[in-house]
Amino acid sequence: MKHKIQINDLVRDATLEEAADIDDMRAKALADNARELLLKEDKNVIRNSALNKLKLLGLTVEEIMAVVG
Amino acid sequence: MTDRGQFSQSVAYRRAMNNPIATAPGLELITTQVIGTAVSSVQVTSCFSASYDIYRVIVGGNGTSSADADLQLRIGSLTSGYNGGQFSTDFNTAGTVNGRAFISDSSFRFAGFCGTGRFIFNVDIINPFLAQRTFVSAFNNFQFTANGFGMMGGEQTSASSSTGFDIRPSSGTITGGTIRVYGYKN
Repeated sequence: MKHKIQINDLVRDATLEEAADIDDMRAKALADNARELLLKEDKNVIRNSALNKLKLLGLTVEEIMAVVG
Repeated sequence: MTDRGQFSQSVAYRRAMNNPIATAPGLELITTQVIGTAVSSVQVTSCFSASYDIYRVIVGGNGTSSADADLQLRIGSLTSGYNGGQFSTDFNTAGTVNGRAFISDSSFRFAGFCGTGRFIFNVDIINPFLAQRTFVSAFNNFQFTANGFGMMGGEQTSASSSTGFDIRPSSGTITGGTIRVYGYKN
């Protein structure tokens, strides 16, 4: 991918080496963010499942929050 | 006004007028840099020196970006040895705390945030010029994957001396905004 980089007031096209460095950083960030979102999704699924089970036991949301909130 | 009040006022006035330490600013502006159009990286050089140990880098103005992204901070030309972590509180879930970390990375990963019409970068950098580890505290940044504002702290483990830094979005490009670099008076 082409990148423009700025050094103080000078804006120019990145060299191949500079572009590879930026792409490398971005690839890692993208992978980490995707993993983070998956973990968050997993947590939400487990959380909602637990809340539903507690509600089936007759607990109100207020009672559940009083214990775990 | 009582005589005692007049005396106190007089002492305070004379202290302010005659003592330069009492009136000198604690933060001194070193340089400013306007971010160009659609750049993937912006580098500021020759801003760290022996004049200051600690710096504040803050971006104001109309900074924006082409995508929601973390802003990554690299000290000088150091491409490894960055450790740190961020915590944030999710405002969609009444304050659920989320955290993320990085170790032996190629930059400080969560130093700020950029999005459409949003640009948050407010970082203290401790000892970048001294030949020892560099530490950062990033205030009020945004963990966009978790809808939360928070903070990041980290260290650069190299004992190298650096004279500048660069800021990069983790995706997309950034435009506008003014980087201001201040030195904390030694």
